[in-house]
Order: sequence, then structure tokens, then C-alpha cells
Amino acid sequence: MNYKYFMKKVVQSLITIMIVLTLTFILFRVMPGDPTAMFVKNGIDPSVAEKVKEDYGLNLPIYKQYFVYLKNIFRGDFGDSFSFKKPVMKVIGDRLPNTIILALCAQTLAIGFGIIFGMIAAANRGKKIDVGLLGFSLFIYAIPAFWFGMVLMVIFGVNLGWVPLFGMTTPGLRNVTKFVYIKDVAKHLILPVLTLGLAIFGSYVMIMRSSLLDVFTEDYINTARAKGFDRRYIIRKHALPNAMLPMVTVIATSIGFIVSGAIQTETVFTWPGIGTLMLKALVARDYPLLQGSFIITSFAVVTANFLADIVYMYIDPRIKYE
Amino acid sequence: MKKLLSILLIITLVIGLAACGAPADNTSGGESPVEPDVKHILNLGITSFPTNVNPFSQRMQQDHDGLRMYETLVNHDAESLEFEGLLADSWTVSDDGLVWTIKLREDVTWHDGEKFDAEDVVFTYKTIVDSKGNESAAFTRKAEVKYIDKVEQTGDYEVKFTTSIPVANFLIETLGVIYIVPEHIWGSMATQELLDYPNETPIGTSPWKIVGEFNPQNTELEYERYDGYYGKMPKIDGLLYIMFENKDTMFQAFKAGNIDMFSPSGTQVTELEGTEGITVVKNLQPKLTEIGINVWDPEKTPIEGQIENPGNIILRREKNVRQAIDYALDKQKLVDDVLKGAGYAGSTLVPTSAGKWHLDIQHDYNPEKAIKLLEEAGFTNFETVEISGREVKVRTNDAGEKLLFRFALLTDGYAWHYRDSVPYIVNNLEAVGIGLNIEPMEGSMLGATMKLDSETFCDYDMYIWGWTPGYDPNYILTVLTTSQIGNRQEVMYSNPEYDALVEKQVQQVVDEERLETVYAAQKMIYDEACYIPLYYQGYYDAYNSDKWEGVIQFGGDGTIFNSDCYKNITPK
Repeated sequence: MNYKYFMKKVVQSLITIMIVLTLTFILFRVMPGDPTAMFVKNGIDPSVAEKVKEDYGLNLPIYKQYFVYLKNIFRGDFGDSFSFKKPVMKVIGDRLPNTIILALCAQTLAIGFGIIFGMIAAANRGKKIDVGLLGFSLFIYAIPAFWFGMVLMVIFGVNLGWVPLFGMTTPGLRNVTKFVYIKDVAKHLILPVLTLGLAIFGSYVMIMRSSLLDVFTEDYINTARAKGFDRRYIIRKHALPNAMLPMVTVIATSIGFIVSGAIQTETVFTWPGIGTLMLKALVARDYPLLQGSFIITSFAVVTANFLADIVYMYIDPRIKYE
Repeated sequence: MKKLLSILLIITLVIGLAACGAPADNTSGGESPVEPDVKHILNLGITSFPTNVNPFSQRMQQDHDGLRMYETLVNHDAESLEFEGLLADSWTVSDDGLVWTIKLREDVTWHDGEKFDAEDVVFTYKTIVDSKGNESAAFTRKAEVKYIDKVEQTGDYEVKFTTSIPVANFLIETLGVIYIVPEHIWGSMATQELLDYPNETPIGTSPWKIVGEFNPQNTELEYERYDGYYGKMPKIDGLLYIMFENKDTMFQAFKAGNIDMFSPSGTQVTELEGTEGITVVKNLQPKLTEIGINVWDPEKTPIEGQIENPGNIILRREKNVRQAIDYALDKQKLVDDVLKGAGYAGSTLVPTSAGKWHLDIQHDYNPEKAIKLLEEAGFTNFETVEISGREVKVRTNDAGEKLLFRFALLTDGYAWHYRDSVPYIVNNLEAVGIGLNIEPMEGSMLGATMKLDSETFCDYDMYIWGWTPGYDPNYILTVLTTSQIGNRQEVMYSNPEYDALVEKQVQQVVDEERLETVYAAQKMIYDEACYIPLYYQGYYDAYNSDKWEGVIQFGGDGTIFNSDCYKNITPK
């Protein structure tokens, strides 16, 4: 293991997190008006607002506030959500599994099919199949998820009646076995997963294709061809491992963003995830919840990128032996 | 490569199963499979979920869907709009209008089986009344009990309220809005505890019992019929509120038969109308959209710290100009085009849906009369000005004063019909020689121009905004009283005669007498034309008439989402 590289990435990640925390702190404070004005607007008595001010340390000088803020964050205390009257961590924690299951299923589909279709397109460069796949990917990539979701919903949900239209379970479903429950959730997952998966699938196809095409021009591929290896073998053993490097970065970033939810897809299908939660927090000006969601999303993205760097260490020998 | 894909697949499955393996609270794992019973549940589509079901501290409009288990002492009958007793059996008021004696029903039980009696009522009211002097006790209904001096239990099922002045709207504004909570559950809590109590398993007296626990993060809220209910028993087994993040999805769910009732948008109505088995109704609740005109007179109504009115002097000086604006507006066209027919042209302050309290003056769309009024005011000349790159002819007087005003337009999401109305308003006014410079702004920014200590106080000429005032006229009438300047007032109108009328009507316990005063107050504002009601807007409601019958609209033309409708609705 390259410890120097590892430590460098740890420090970089920590610095990024500190910058994010600081920016969030500043953002929260440059918003118009005193943060407690929001409490008062929400109907809380001014004397209660004063107490809240004290609890949050808002009556302290700004540099002290910053340390109180950092202390609270590191203790996992993001405050209470205005609209749900519960700790922000609990509110987010309740929604996180729903978002993860949706996004992970969609990502798996998109990554899997994205890599396969990207490979097919690259291997058949310039042919009809390449043009077709590229056109399809661009089309899918360009159409807005909310519109695409509605179209799928009207066709498969309303007209054909094959799949449920909205929610995570059938309304009023209770007193059922785990199996029935899982089956119900799985049915409800179909349309949102398809919508979200297809929305991101296009970008994976295009990245995979262009990355492979780059690799195809390398000398070692020509050498392999000259050696008389089978075309499929060359793609699998020589081209793919090298073409995967940019894919790892894209996949890591996407996985990092999983926790931020998919606002459009979740909204269209009323999927109770982080995306709809953030939207609600924004509309209700629920700043603690919004701040908590931002920070958690940032943590996840930084962590995913850090993990990608570590994976690089294993799959890219240039880093391993640097 | 294969490894990567396999790892991803395994992660998905593991997390998926883990997430599914933690079923919702109402799902009991391991039990033998029980198919859901065939029950008649009314599925209602909503777009905002209740956030708080504590009757002492709830504030949001949507919270009322979460408070279906509670009842007030009296209620409006949905069909006649007359008062009917709920927890109150009968009531009398003393001749001086100061003492209200309420006889309670003796056959009421709480959802947990305990008997309901006067102690519950006294506890609920006393808790709020006693907090009047305590500024930090933020009870939502404090304003509604401000005239109550004393609440006494005069029998097991009798309560006496003593008020400081006669209160004309005591039934609707006080007894009709405060939900009674069980003393045996809430009685032992301290003030702050009462306000903070999350009330996850609310116990009430209504025909609807909550199923499971209330969680503001859920997307469904289910009630089942309470079979121990004392009154008219609902014919259905339950109500299920289903929250949609998106109105289009709700529309599709309605079409697919997943929900039975919802409020469609104008364009959705066009698609639904004529569909067999679906009934669309106009839902007209008391709502008012008005054009307000800044008429603050710093000399007549001095305000500490504010010296000048930065608004337009012509508008506050010339009643003729204000009246001309009213005559120049084709309000019916706004109703037809912007509201797609769901509403009425506005004229007086109290909306049509407030029933008898509305003073029925038909709006007169009369551009000729508007021109005549402007000419009488001396605005006989014209000058061409540039507005948003267009050349517009506006009237001027001999002193060179131009009829060119600033018009504040809200950009907030709910203000869609304001924005859609503005092109019509601009056209109507330009046709008589009045120019408008549209100034888009957020509600908070416009609100700031109406705050006494604001640097931008009164820095506007005209605006378009609205109210949802309720069925009793008192609230909307008080908006234009002098004491509301800096609070609810938007146009800084001040007239002691008007103030006296508003003060008088709230103390007139005899309806006929009060009606006269309420009409006189409305007529006064109509003549002053500082507050020009544009329209009383409505919405649409739709229900599946293939499945359900017995739907009742509140007050004949109001919402179908009302308690009487839920009690009366029957599966076909």
C-alpha cells in the first residue's frame, strides 16, 4: 500500500469537509434576517426564540458560534427540524433507507447496462448499432426525469395497470407478512427505478464508449491484435481494465450523490426519500433540516471520492508503485 | 469488471432486503398472512401532509386533516351554514350578551372509552384563557379566547363562559374552533409540556379514530370509524388521506382509481369534464383577491419614526381615480379566463361564500364611467410614456401629474393567479389612460413595506394580494381598521367612522342588527375604493361518482372535503 498517497487523500478529504462545513456555516448566517426570525415566523414566542438563540449559541460572537457549530456537528447534533419537531438526524435517518434502496437499484441497473451497452457501441464504432445506441443514450440522457416518469406512469400504471403509480407501499397496507410487504415494496420500486436508472444510464453508456475508444487507439491494443488475440478477449482483458479508470470516478461520484436522493423521481412517484425531504425543507424554510441534508450529502460525496481514490490505488499500478 | 458488478448487485440486494426487513410500524412481521378486509375506505388525495396534531399548538392549514379525531362544541351545518351542537347539546346567552351557558351532551365517550364531561371542556378552555398573560405560552387559539374572562363548571355537563364584552361571533370564532381535548390525558402536563406534546396517539370524540400512530413524516393518514360515536354514524369504514408530492401524479392516481377525491387544477378539470363516473364541482370558500392602494395620510394618521409616504400622492388624494380603477376592470373576464370560471367577480370586502354577510353589489365594468371620473378629476390631457419598452398614453392633469403607478406583483408560488391576472389589469387600465409599472417582488418584501419600523414603509403605490377570511365577517372587516396599521393592514386606511362600525358589529349579538352594521362597513370601503376586491376565487374538487354518492358541498358551493360529507358519503 502506498501510505503517502493514502495519507494525502485522507488529509485532502478532511480539508474538503472542513471547507464544506465552513461554507454551510457562512451560508446559514448570510441568509436575510436573524435566523431566529424564522422561529418567530413559525409562531414561536419571542422569549422562546431567545432561548433557542441561546441553545444554538447564536447570542455568542461569530467566531465562538463557529466553534459551537463545529462541536455540535461532530457530536452528530444538527438541531431540531422546524417542521417535524424532531432531531434532524432522526428525520434524515428515517428517510435514508428509502432513498438508498431506490438509488442503489437504479445505479446498479444503470451501471450494469451502461457498461455493457457502452462496450457494444465502442466495439461496433460507426456501425448502425453504435449510432442507434448512441442516439438512444443521448435521447434518454436529454429528457427530463419528471417527464419521462410521468410517461412511464401513464403507460404502465394508468393505461396498462401493470404497476403501482406512487408511494412505497399500497395505501392502507397493514397487518401483512414480511414477504407480502417486500413484494409490495418491490412492485412499487419498478417505475421509480426504471425512471431514475434510465435517466443516468445514458451518461454511463457515453462515458464507457468514449473511454474504450480512447484505449482502442493505444499501442498495446494494436500489439495484442498483432499477436492474433480474439477481439472479445482484447476488449475484456486489455481494453476494459484501462477504460474503467474514468468510470470508477463517475460511479463513485454518483454513489456519493445517492444519499442526496433523486428529487425529480422521488417527487413524481411520491417516494418518501431524502430528495422529497430536502424539497419540503426548502419550501418550509426548515433551515436546520436543509443544513443537515447538505452536510450529510457533502460527507457522502467526499467519502465516495475518497473511496474511489483508494480503489484507484489498487486498479492503477502507476499509483501503487509511485 | 465482473467482480465490480457482482459487488454492486450484492450491496443492492443486502441493503434492499435490510430496508424491506424493517417494515413500517403498522406491519407486524411473522404473523400469519391476513388479507386486508373488504372495507369501504374513502381515499382522499392531498398535497400537504399535517405536521402537528397537538390542538394547542398546531398552526398550519393542513394540520386540520390530522385533527379529524377531535370535535368542537358547536359546528356549522355544511348544508345550511347554521350552527349545530356537536359536544354542546344546547346553549343560551344572557340578555346583556356577556354570559354563555353551554349544556353538554351526556352520551359522549372518548376513543379510549372514558366518559366525556364538563371537566374536559373547562380544562381545555381554562388552559388557553389562563395563558393570556403569559407571553411565552404560544397557544394557537389565544386570540379566540381574548374576550373570555371566566370559564366555570356549573354541573357535570354544564359550562358557563363570561366575556368582558358581548361577542357577536362567539359561536363561530370561539366555540366553533377550539378542539376539546381529554382532561384525563392532558390534565397533568405543565404549560410548556402541553405545547410540546407530540400527541402521537390522539384520543378524541369524533366518529374518526386514528389508525396507528401519527408521524408527520408519513405519506398516509388513516382513520377508522369509531363505533361508540354518539351522533350520526358515518356509512363508510374509514378515511385514508394520501399525500402526493406532485399534483400530476395525484391526477393520474385519480384516473387510475387509486383515490376517490381530490382538487384538480384548471387544466385537469378540462380533461376530467365529461368523463363518465367522475363529478367535478366548483369549490368556493371565502377567499378574496384584491388590489390594494396605498392611502396613508401622514398628517391625519401620524406614525412614529415615519414622516413621508413614498407612495403616489394622486392615489391617496383622488377618490375619483381609485373609483375609476374599479370601474375600468373587467373582473368577470378574470374569473372566466384566469380562474376558468371557478369564482365570482369581486365588489365588496366580505366574499360571496360568507353567505348572508356579503353585501351584494354587482360589479359594474364601465370604462366610460371610469373615463368620466378621471376627467372630472382633471386628468384630461395625455402624455406618452415608455413602459417595458412599449409606448403607452397615460392621462395627465394641468399640473403635469401623470396617472402612472407602480404595481407590486408577488412572485411566490401561490400567486399564480395574480400573475395571470396582471396582463388583463394592465390592458383594462391602459384603455382608460392609466399606466402601470409592474414591480415583481416576494411576499416578504411586500410585507416589509407594511411594517411600521421598516425602511421601506409604504414604498408602493398598488399591489395585488389576498385573504382567506372565513365565514364570519369580523376578521376581514378588522383588516382595514386603524388599529391594524402595522399589523394586518396593507393600505394604511384610517377612518374613525369605519373603526366604530367594526367595533360595533362584533358586539351585536342579534344577527339582524349586526347585518346592518356589517353592510354599512362594506359599503364605506366600497365607496372609498382603497381596497378593490377583484374576485372571490374558488377551486375545483372532483370525486368518483361511480363509486360514491351522498357527497355534500360545504354551504352548497364549498369544498367536498368536510366532516358532514364524510359522515354522509355512501358507497354505491
